[in-house]
Amino acid sequence: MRAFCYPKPRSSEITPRHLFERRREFLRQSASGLALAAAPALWSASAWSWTGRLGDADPTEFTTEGDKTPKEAIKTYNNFFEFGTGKDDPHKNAHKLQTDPWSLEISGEVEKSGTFGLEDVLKHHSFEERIYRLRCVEAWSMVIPWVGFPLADLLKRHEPTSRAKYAMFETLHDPEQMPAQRRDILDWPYREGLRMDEAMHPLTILAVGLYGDVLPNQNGAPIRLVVPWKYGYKSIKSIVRIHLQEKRPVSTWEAERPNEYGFYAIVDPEVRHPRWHQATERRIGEDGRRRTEKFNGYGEHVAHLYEGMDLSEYR
Amino acid sequence: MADSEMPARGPRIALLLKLLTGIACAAPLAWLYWAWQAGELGFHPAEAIVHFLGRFGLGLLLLTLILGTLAHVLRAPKLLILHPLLGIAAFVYLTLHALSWAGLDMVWEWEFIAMEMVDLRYLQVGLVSLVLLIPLPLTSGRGLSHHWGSTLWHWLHRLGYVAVAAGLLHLWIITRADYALPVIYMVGFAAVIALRLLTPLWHTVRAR
Repeated sequence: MRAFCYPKPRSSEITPRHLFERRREFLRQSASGLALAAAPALWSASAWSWTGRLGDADPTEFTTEGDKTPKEAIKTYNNFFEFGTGKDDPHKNAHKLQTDPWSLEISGEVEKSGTFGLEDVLKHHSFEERIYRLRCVEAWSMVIPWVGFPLADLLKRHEPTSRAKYAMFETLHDPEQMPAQRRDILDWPYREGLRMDEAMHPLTILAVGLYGDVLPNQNGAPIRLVVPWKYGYKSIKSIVRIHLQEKRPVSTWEAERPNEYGFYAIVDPEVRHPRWHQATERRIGEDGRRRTEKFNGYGEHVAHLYEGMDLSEYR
Repeated sequence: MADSEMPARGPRIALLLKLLTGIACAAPLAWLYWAWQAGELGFHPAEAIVHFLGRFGLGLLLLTLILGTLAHVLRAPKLLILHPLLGIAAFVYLTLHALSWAGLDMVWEWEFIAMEMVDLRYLQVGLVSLVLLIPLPLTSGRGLSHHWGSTLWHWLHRLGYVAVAAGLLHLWIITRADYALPVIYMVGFAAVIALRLLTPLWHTVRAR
């Protein structure tokens, strides 16, 4: 079984093979690790629970150096406009979100489309811990221990057709559960998109947990995207639909302010933003400021995806 | 203010009013400091402090304009006894707003401060707004307005309008989804401008 597939593998690149080898290690660790071995059972239809612990997984290839941001910070400092625009609004209001039952629609350019109960989706996957840097376009950042699985694994199971060039993601739209959707602050539902090679990249995951627990609602429960080399708004939360398509989708923030929120949204200290200076960032929980790294420090894994693209134009 | 003549009981009531207003202006600052020290401002206190000081300071500055305008429109100069106090409080908040940005958010890294000032329009607009305000508290005493003569003093203090306009622009640029607060402030500012422009007209019409 091939764990992942680069769209244009080049012999000069060591990374893919390296990742490939490590990838098998994850699987081995998943199978042998006691906590993780127990985890999938939690997600089976019979033992469905949103309060269960997913267990601690061993660090992976993508584990970030540096201290993890305190869990309390990750849970209380959020951008999730469906629950309000204040940083603490999601924490206060997200309890209204019903994450069980949850269904996920997979549609468009796939051979196997349909709407699936989340438990039926998750039973195919074992989870990995991925400690990733998250860089928000607002010039703050965190280091978050996600629990999830590669998006590529899910997409491949649904067999993308040759016309699948982009993946579009959609958040739940239900003002009863997401009170700020009653207000016209964004064009609901929230939408995001990735190019197919970005979506299939092994760094791109669907997360279902953090710090070994299921995702808190305000962090995008029950299932969210995490794309660590892009600004946080790309990592869409509480996903109800994944649609593969030939045309490039327009994401919500891009439609709102195209000059500020590009489709690619790659973390890049050199590319100017009219609102926040992208050269530095505040790591939440730290006193000082850090210099922002291009590709949020994941350049060795992803820079090749954008070769020949002027990232100041394709923002 | 030059033109407030107090009746016999006046001074004491005026003092009480000033005292209460002073407390009302200082209380949020005291609360902010307490909340900061107590860790009540969440995991990015610098941001919370900068935003609070800016929003509150601009609100106070707008309130100062509203008070001055009401005193003018209602021909109630007594209202003006609170005018210097509100104006100075607004200036203090807005100065702390700028200082907290430089000190807490940019952690006094002059390289970062310079970089942001050069690249970001809203920071330049904000700085202009604050600089325009500097002469106002310096000349807010009762004595100066007498000394300078009313006309010059009033012209100088029209800088307050420019500063609020620039402050609103600053707020508008950084607002991105929820426009409730800037819209409220802008409606207030528009009302002040409308009253200022319409009142002379109204008085001439009535005088005929």
